[in-house]
Amino acid sequence: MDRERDEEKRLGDDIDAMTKGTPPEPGTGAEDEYRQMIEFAGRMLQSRTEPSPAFASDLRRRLLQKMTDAEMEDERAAATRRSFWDMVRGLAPRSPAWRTVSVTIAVLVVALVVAWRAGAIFGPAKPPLVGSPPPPGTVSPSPVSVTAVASGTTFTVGQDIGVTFTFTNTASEPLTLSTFPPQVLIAAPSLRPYRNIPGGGPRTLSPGETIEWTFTWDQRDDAGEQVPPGEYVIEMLDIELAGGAGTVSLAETPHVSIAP
Amino acid sequence: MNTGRNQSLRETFARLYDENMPKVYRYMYYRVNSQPLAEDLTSAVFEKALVNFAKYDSERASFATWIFAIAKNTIADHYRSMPKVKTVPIEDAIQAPSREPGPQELAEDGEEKQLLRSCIGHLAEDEQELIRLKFAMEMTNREIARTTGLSESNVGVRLFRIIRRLKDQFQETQRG
Repeated sequence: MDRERDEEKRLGDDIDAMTKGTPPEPGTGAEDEYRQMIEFAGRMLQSRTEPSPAFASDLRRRLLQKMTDAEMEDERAAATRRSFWDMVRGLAPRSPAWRTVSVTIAVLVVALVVAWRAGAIFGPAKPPLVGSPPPPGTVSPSPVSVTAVASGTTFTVGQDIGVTFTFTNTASEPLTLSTFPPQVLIAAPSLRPYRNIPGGGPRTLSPGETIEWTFTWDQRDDAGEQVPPGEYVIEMLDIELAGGAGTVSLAETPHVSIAP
Repeated sequence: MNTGRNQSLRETFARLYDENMPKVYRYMYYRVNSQPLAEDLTSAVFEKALVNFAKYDSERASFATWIFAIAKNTIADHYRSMPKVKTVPIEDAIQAPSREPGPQELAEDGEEKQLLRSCIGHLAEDEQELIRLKFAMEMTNREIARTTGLSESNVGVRLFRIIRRLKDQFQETQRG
């Protein structure tokens, strides 16, 4: 029992050594079966399909060329920025008196803009239009929330699995989902897709409206075959809202387990 | 001028590419069983790695772990981009009765290689992934544990049992 536990620990290290080209040391008292396992692991390493040298060198050359191109592009952009600021500096008056006047004017212009934005001149500045896209780099919450709930967590082979998607429009204006029902993908944790359920057409949600869509998975894949027992994840592909109002994403994907 | 820094960055990337590209390729080949497709997917992985290389933090994860995460996303994207196409994983292709290797294929690939792949094809999906991580990605048990969420000792025990079962099945098939 202790020997087996020791061998369980050793096997991973011995395979690591073999991948580095170092044959493992036989060790004391190693049983025949362990030696056979090491030999078998060696065969598995030899049976791997390696990339062709032509592919390896071609891809390497292309990647390094891309890196060089990107660096040159950065250099060009930096040079352009430098020349712009050189030009600005060239515009500035050389006389200290005129320089003071220029800075004063610039400060006044900035102060006027700040005062206008604060509403001190023409009343409050207009709020941004509803639905205007957020500035790049910011993430705004979607005005449509979506949840998905499976009818259970563990199922027997062949048992129907129900999944209910609930969409709610939390905005104060109607919003149109580009795809309803949503496109659903059922995949194993290995990311192998088993079942693809195509989505529907556009669907408008009134303010505050909630809609549900339930589908039943019969545990069959796209070819109609029963999928093997194991863990499966039910994913919804993101849905765009019409008019660039955002994207609806499923935050928590249901996981179900099919028992053998 | 950043020429010196850029040169060092290029050298670092080239070294990491040399060390990791064969691992990614082998992993992809295990997944798709097609040389051109494995090459395309491997290229896509390293293109993404190049674009995001500035964000890579070696203190947070090893390059092997980082590139594997990109590889998993790439293969997921690949499957998503063609949901209607039924991709036949390597093991299924070998198991399928109509997929008898031809003489040329046998000469190129070797009967033993085919037989080994067929034995791997009889494993459960999570067991196949452990084999891919160990033999294709050449991860240590600790790296596999970090990637899969299993404990390191559990990885060791599972790999031991899987390899023992594969060996027995391989020997039995060779005899029979």
